[in-house]
Amino acid sequence: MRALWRAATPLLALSFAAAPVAAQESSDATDLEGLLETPVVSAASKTAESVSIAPATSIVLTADDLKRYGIRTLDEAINFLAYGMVTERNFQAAEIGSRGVLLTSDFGAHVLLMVDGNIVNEQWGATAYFDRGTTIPFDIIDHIELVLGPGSVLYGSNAMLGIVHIVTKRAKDYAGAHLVAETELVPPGGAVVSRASEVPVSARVAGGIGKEFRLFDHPGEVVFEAEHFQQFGPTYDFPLRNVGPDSVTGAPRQYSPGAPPGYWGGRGSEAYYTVAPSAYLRARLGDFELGARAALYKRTDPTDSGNFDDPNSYEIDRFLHVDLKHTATLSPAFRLSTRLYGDFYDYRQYWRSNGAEDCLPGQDSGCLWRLYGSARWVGLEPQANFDWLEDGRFVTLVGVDGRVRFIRSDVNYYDYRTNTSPGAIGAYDLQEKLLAAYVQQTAWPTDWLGLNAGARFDDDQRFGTHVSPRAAASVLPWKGGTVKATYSEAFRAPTAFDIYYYDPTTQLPGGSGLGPETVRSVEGSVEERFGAQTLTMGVFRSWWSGLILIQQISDADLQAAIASGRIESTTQAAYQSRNVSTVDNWGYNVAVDGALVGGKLHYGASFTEAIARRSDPGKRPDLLAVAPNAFGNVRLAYDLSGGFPTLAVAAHWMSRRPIDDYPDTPVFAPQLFEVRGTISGAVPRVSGLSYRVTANYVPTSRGAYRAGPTLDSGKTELVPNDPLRFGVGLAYDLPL
Amino acid sequence: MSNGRGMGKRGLIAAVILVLGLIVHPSGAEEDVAVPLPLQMELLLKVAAYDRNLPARARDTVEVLILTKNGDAQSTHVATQAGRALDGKRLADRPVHVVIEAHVDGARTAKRIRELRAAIVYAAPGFSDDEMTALGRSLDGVDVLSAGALARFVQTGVVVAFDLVSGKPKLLVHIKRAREQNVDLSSKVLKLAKVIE
Repeated sequence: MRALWRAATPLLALSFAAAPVAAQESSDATDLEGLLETPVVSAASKTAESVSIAPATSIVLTADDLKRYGIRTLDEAINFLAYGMVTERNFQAAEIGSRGVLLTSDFGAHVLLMVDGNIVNEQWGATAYFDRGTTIPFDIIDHIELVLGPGSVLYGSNAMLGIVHIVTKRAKDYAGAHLVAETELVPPGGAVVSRASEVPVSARVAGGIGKEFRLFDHPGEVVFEAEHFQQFGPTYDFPLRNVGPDSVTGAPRQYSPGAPPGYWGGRGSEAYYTVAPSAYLRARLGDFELGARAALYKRTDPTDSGNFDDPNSYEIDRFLHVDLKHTATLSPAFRLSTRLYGDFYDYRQYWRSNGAEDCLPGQDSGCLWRLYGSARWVGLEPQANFDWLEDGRFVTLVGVDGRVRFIRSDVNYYDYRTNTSPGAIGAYDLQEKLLAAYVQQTAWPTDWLGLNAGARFDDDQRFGTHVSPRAAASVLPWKGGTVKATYSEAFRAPTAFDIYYYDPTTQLPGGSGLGPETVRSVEGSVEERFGAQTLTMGVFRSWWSGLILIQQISDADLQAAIASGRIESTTQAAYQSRNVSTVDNWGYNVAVDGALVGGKLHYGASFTEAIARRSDPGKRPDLLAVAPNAFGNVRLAYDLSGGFPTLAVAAHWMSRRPIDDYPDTPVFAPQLFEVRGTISGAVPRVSGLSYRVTANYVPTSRGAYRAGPTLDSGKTELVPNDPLRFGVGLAYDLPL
Repeated sequence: MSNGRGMGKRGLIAAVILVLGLIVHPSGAEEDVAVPLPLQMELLLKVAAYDRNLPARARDTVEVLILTKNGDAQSTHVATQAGRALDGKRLADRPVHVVIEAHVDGARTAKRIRELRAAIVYAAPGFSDDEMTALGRSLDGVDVLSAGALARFVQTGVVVAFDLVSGKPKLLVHIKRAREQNVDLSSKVLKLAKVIE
């Protein structure tokens, strides 16, 4: 508690410094300005409501903030503008954590990502990306809602760390035609090596349209944007390291053409790229709403497994989503909405390896390893609202979500010599069904007390059944103040990958005995508004259990697996996914944000500190890899107006944290500090044309992930950060 | 724990609910009330407090007339919610009193405003642009602050409405209509608003 007050003091001071200004400006409509700064969130309870009374700690990141602070991806938005959540970069990929818990290599599966109420996490491995892989054209984002803590009560699996909900713009806010072009430049410095072809390192072009219309006497609208993002480079130098002979052939292995045999590393100039085209459509006509999304995300980096700096080793995800929603208020007390959705997703991972040790027996010249996974699913979600008193005081929400999914996966090792695979291994092709029902009751017995309680029951053929409850109370004890308490639970269903992935050289399938991972949480928060300034303080405690860990199986189990032919006889150690880990987590967060000078000056700051201890069988409780125990941010923007630009500066910081293969490698990444300055505004004398220029500085040279094998000195090399990064963008808005 | 069974029957029930949802729909197309009603009413009272002519218009009680579209369930629902949100509130040191009525035509509404000495008239959703234009025209010269549940209402018929942009409420003010209805909002409020000429 002492730590909470210590952290809160500077933010309280900032808030109280702003309060007299607010009071002084009271006659200047600051109270109205404050109300106009009230964020509205819909993900917490499937109902639009002020964040202060939502049944969970909720944060809204606005499109205005994304623009003024030079934000380009979700992970940047979270680190620079939010509190509670944090992301960590590993080359172009970002991992996400919340309030001290980050589960590395989870492919975002512990956060529920939604776009306009539709779940993005796919149904094979529950993947969700928070970097360029989000593949939602960025300019049509109206706002991003973050709901911290367990949130399965209305959404089911994956909402363990929280919910990230992207809400796209309505046609009225995106009217006309729009073109965007922006690029990023990375000058040499730190680990970045100069190369003329890397200026620029990335480019994004996008085009969109927004239009309102009337059809068959019904109001309609359409919003569409297509975007293409491509990144190549920068080039990094990785010290050469001798990794010894191939364990199968006994000969030194050729990791890359430029390095001596047996050595990993050198100049990484060919295999750091991203290609991410995407398109998003949302159309409304009368009571119907149609959404569609198509996207591709291809990327690699020089340190990817297999050979070093091989551009033909890469990952590629493809997404296709369609949903149709109908809403009708059938009586003043009864509203019904029905959502029909269908998705296609597939994933391919290619690793080229010149090493026989990475391949099947007999593939001594090397191989191409290919993992394939796909999921198709269709679902139907009818949902009914009963407003018993017809005035919003006592509302029951009931919903059913039925889903059928088709999952396929296999692994192939293609021999370099013959270009053929001896056959798919670990293949599965299955159909699964999920049926879930949820209920939520909200009640406002008085003007100062709001209650919310609910539960969701999931019956999933993949693992069985699970119930996720939540109860929350909001008290408004004085003007501008809200005190909130929440108990909530969430789960993550074992993925098809967890249950079925099988490699006869290394891994047994997790099997149908795998259960869901679960989390329980209690939290309390106090929010106080002074005019347009808001101060939030919260404490939380959570208990995680049944976390799935890929664990080495015992010698007896290994011998049994070899005897039954499930594992190759040459295998020395094999692994299996099991529900074995627990995490104990607690901490606090403090945040302040607001606007002054008639909304021209925006500021914000936050700090989160959390303790998280993971317990694995046979081991003492220990830190979570990659998870910082403290992080925060601060930002300030001023709109000069009158044809002059908006100036903004934002910075975020996170504490030192264990690297990704901790505790096997007991190394800590240095604390990270990143600052970004942004200038944005309209181009003078050219109607509709605007610009944005950013400069990003990271004095910390290394991140929290291992980059390649151990150095000859015995040290661990960590992934590089770009010290400097500049961005330039132009946008053209054309009225239609 | 148990494995999912009997999904066929449950799927059928879900499909029936879908069909009901798609077939049974109201006569008019429903539009989202973007800004939550409690917040919208709080904003409306705050804006009204900056109307310099409100004290003269309100006398002892601030009468608020909420108009609903006849036969429109969403309109009735929003009106009831708005009424509830205003219940017990005070404005310019006067108690707020709410009357909810179905809108028949502009002339009758103008007459009711005069009879009730309504200081504020608030249109629930459900009205077409033509209906709002007619309402606006009939309020020319009527001393009242008119407001609407939907942002588009300010383009055609009311002085004040609220929109949700970038996750936050936005104040919209039709300045010409304000003058015609003797609404005199302080320049400090207009600085915070998107002013429609």
